[in-house]
Amino acid sequence: MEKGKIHILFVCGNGMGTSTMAELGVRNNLNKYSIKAEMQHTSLGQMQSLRDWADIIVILKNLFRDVDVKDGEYFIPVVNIMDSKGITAQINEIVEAHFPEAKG
Amino acid sequence: MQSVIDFLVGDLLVTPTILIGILVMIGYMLQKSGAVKTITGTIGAMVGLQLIIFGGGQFAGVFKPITKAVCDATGIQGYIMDSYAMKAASQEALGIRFGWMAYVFLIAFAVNILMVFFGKYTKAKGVFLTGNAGTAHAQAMLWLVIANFALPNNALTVIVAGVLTGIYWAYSTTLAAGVVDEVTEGGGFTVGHNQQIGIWFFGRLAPKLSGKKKVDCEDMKLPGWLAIFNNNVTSVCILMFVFVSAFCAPLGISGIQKLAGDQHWLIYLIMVGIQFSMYMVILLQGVRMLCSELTASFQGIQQKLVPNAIPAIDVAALLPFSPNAATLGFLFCTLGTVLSMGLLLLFHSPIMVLPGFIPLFFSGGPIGVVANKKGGLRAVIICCVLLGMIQTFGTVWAITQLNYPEAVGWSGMFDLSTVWPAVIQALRWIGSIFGITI
Repeated sequence: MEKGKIHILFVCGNGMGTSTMAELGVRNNLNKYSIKAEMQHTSLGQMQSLRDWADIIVILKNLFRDVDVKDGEYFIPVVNIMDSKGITAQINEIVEAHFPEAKG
Repeated sequence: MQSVIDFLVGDLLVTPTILIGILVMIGYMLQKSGAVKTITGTIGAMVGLQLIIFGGGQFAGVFKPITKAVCDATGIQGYIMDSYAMKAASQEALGIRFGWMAYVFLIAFAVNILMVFFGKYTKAKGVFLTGNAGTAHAQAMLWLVIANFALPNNALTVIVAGVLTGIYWAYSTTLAAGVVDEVTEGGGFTVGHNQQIGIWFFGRLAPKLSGKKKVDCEDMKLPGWLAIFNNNVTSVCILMFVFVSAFCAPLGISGIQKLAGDQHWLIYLIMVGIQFSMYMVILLQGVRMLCSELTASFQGIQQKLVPNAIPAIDVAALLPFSPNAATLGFLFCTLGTVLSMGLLLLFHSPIMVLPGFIPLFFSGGPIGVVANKKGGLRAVIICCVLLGMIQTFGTVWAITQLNYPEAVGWSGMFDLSTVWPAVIQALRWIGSIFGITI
C-alpha cells in the first residue's frame, strides 16, 4: 500500500486470460466504492514474487487449496471470475476493515 | 522522396514488431488515450512482442538439437504439443510475414462482431475476448493458409485467414455456451480459448458415461501433492524433464552425453526442463505485456457494439467450479496422451509428439470439470483419456499439414487437433478443384 492506493493482485493458472478478465471487471466496479487501487495479474507459479507488493490477492478457488496464508495477507478465493460485483464487494469489505486510507 | 518510401515500405513496415507497434499506437489514438498512455502502451506492447519472439526462438532452440539427435538415431521426428510450441513454430515459419498476423487478428475480430451483430441470421452469440489465444490463432491460421494454398496475392491470404479465424471464434464459442452455462450455473460467459468445441462434444458425451452410480469428484479426497501440477512453472519443468528424458531414451546414456557436451547427462536433462520453464515464463511475460490492453479494448468494443453478446473468455475460468475434477482431468488426459504415444511407437509412426503443459492442464482440466458435472467420476476418466488420445493423434494429423518439417511443434489443444485440420483438409479438396492447393 502506497500513496493511498491499495495493491490488488489477480492470480490464475497462467496469469493471462482469466486473471485479466477478473481485473477488468473489478476495475469497472471500484469507482462505486471510491477505492483507489493499483492492479496486476500473474500466474500461480509467479505469484511468489509479487506477494509482498500485493495487499489483496484475488485467486481462483482451485489454486487456493495449497496456498499458505501468512499474517496480514488477504486472499479472496473466487469461483466465478465474471462475478465482478461480488468480487469488488469482498474487496471493499477488506479495504473498509484494514485499509481505510485507500478510500478517497 | 523515393528513398523515404523505400524506407517506409521496405524496412519499417516489414519489421513485425514495428508494424504491430504502429497498429497498437493507432488503437490508443482512436481511443483518445492521451500521449503518455499511448507512448507507454505502444512501447510496452513492442517490448512484449519482442519477448515473445525471443522466448519462442529459444524454446525451439532447446528442443532442436534433441529432435535432430533422436531423428538421426531412430528416424522418428519429434514435436512438442503445446500452444507455445505452435506460437514458436508459426512465427519462425512466417519470418518477415509475422507482422501480418495483426491484420488477421483484426479481421477475425471484425468478422466475429459482425456475425454476432447479425445473430438473427447467423445464430452466432459468442464474442472471442481472449487476446493470448487469439493472437496464437491468427498466426497459426495465417501459416496454415500460406502453407496449403497458393492464393493470387498476399491481401487475399490475410483476408482468408482472418475470415476463417473469425468464423471459428463466433461458432465455437456459441457452441460451448450451453454447456458452460450449465457447469457454471449461469455464470454469464462462454469459453473462448482452444478447446470450446471439445467442451461441447464432451458435454454431450459425458451424460451417457455416468454409469449406475454417479460419483461427484468433489466428494473425493485427493492426495495433496497433486496440487504441485497447478503451479505452471513447476509443472512445465517436471513434464518436460520426464517426456524429453523418455524421448531421448533410444539414444542411450552415451548419446545423451554427446548432446550434453561438457555437462553430466543427467544435469543436462534437468536443465532442459528448467530451460523450457524459463522460456515459458519469458513468453508469458511477453504475451501479458502485449495482450492485457488488447483484452480490455476488445471487451470495450464488444460492450459498445454487441452488448447482448456472450463474452467468451479464457478456459481457466471453468476450473474453480470443480477443482478436484480439474486435477483428475489433467491426470487422465496425461494418461490418454501417454497411451497414444505408446501406440505411435508401436505402429512405427515417423512422427512422435511430446505433450506440453497447456494441452494437459487447459484441455484436460476443463473437460474434467464438464465431464464431472454431466457424468461424474466415470465420465471424467473415460472422457479425459479419450481427450488425450484425440489430441495426440489429431496433432500428428495437423503436423502433416504444416509443410514445415523443422517446426518445433503444434498446439495439441482439442479444437486445433480436430476441427482445424478437418477444415484445412476440406479446403484442400475444394482448393484442388481450382488448382490452388499446394
